[in-house]
Amino acid sequence: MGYNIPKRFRKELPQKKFEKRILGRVHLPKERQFLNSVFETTNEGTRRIPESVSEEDRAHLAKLAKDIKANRGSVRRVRLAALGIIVVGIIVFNLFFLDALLERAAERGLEAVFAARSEVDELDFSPLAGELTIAGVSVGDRRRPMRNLFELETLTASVNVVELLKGNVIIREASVATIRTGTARSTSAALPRAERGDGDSGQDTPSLVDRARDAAEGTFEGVSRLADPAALVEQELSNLESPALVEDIRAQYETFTDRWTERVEAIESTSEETVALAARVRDIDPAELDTPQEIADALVLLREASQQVDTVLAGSREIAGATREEYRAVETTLNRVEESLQRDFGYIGSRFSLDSVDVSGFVSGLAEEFLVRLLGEIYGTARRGLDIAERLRRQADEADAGGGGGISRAPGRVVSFPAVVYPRFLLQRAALGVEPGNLDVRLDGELTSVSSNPALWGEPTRLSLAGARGGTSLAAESELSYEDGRADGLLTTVSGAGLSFNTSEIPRLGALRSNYEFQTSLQLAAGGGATSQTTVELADLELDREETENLVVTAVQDVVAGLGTVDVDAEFTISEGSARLDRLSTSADDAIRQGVAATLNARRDEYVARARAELEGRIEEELAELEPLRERAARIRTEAERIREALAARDRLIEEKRAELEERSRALTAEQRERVEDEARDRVRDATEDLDLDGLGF
Amino acid sequence: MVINWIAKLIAGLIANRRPGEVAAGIAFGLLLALLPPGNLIWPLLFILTFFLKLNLGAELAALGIFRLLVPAADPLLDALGFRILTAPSLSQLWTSLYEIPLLPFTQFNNSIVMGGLVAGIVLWIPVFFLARVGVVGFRSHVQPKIAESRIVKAFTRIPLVSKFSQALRRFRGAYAAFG
Repeated sequence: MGYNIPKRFRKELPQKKFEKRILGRVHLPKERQFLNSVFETTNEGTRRIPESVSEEDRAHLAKLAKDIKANRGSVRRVRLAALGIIVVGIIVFNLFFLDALLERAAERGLEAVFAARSEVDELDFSPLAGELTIAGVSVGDRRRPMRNLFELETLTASVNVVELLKGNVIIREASVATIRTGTARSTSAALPRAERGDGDSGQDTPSLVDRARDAAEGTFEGVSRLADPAALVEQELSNLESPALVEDIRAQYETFTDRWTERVEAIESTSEETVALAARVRDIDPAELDTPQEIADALVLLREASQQVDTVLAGSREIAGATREEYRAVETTLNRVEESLQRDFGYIGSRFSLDSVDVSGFVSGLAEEFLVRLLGEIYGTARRGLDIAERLRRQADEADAGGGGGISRAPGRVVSFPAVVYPRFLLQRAALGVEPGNLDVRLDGELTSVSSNPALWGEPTRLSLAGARGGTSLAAESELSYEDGRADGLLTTVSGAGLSFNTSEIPRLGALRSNYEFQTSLQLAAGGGATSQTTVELADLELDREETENLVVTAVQDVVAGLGTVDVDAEFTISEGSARLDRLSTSADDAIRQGVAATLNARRDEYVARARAELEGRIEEELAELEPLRERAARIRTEAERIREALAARDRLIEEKRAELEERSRALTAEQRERVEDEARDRVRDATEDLDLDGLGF
Repeated sequence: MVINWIAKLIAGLIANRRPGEVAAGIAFGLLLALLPPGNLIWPLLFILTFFLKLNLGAELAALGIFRLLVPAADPLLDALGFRILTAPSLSQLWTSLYEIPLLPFTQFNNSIVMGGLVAGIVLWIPVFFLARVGVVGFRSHVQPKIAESRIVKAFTRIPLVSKFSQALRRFRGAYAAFG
């Protein structure tokens, strides 16, 4: 293939032009040398390429011509032209698809702020006029994915176009036709975790309703043990005094009767011989004893009987005394049964303390449930408001922070100038119309000073809504304050009148219906803590009773059904994830407490009486079982006494006989002496009759 | 990709191209490195370099190298930028600029951005001329010696180097065609 000399090199050029246009655009020394060698110098001093240049040099020149062309100018015209086409294309695309792009951007923005799927049906933006109209906005509720946080019919806003070109969305005036809250969604509003952009699980914290239910369950559990006094007596048997005492008495009786029986039998066996001997003594008739020998024999028998009776009598006295003492001890113990029974009654009464029934927990539980049902939306909405403010600020911060890049750079210092500086986002005022999903009242009001940089704007965000329909009215005032540009606290006051509620079935109690008025103020701190003061006035409270045999529940039902107007004052502290009831008082507190306490007292008295009767019956039964033993012991004791008395009688008999025998002995002795004297006298007289004793001078 | 960038850089050094292309690439690389990203100036400057006849390989190489070093100079850039932004004689200018739509996106009122921009512009010219002198010197003295050395000749026979060389040739062809 043959090469022509490139067009650029065909012209004859003056030396200066040759250097400027040719050599000036060749930047390799050897190429310059080549050109200098190829271009010959004419007589006129111009430079040209001779026709005789070789084929190889022509090819080289062709390449150099391309290089020279490439080295001409500083701008890549082709790329610039391509960029121009792209820019024009983008402008045209934006003109036709700007609204669609903004629509999608608005959806993404709402999703970022509310952390839930959001849809915008229609968006119309006129850049030159700065008029923005949005229709059919639905923002999902991240806590209830099948519900919308709100639906918005139409929003019209005037956007500051100049500020928009500076990157600030400034809306001085907006009008929101109707916002409906809590409407149902056909698709879930849950975003993937990555899109949600936080660690929030999206679940509600443990419900206060559950806590209320637990409290109520616990309350009723507290009285279940009142049901069976016999079971209680059985359960408390080891702690009672009287049953143990009765058992002790039984053991004593059994031990003593056995021992006494042995003793009495021993006395009886020895006393038979004594009785026989005593019978022989009794049969002695001293008058019939005529001789000293007979008397002596009788005295021997008497002495023998006396010794035996004395021995047996001493034993019987000892036994009778011991038996008497032991019997008396048992009887004394028996008498203590009554005293111990009285002490046991006192103990049983103490087991029915009202402390076991947490009435206050029940009242709190009911009130908490009521308040949570009533005010849950307010808490949730306020918390969401604070979250949204924080997200708005965080997004602005992230936008200000920029992309960053792989290598960290110092953030630098932002210098402010004496110019009107707006936050990245500002909604100065928006007129609102809200239709809460659970109420048949339309609320009108305004939202002011929503800003991504509250420190710059300098005014707190305020929301005020109010509305009335029929006898129902509702009003809400909310103010979000800032500290150092961060949301510092949210104070929300909501009040309503002419409202009514209808609870679901409260466990074991029933369903409540009432008309009510309320006012609640909720102070939410940015750190997560919150306090709330709430006043509720319930009127015409009605209760659909649940059938129950539980007396406490019945008492509560009675009191609740009889309540006319109830004032409820409550203070809650809500920290991250849980709510704590700091104080709760209702005008029903005392009524319910007194009603339940009266019922419980009556119930307790009844149960105490039943338990006493149960214990008393049990002790009486046991004592009745002891009666044969007691009778036997008494019989034995009587027998021992009888034996002792019989032996004493024998002893007395022996003593009498002894006295009689001694008398007889003395009489017989005197008689014998007299007879001997008489006989001696007779003998003397006989002897002296023969003698003349007078003559002897005697 | 990286091979192509290196090829572009080497092509810029040894091909019949203006030494200023490589020098401008290096100077722009320094300027982009001095500017923190995340503002409108950086992408605009970067896009601008696509439409200028400069060596993109040299620019990216310089950007990569200088970005490693520039954080050490941040305190100086911050001081410089702050002084410029707070200079009383310039306050009217900055205030006016700040009121102009789109300009706030440049974040020119950030001391690092302003310091980096000014330092980059000021350093651009000396860096450009120094780099240009370096390229010319390289082409005149170093390149011929390298090309003729035995080591390079042996080195170019290595398969990977051969592949690199092919890429270089391809690029040079494309580069020339793109114009």
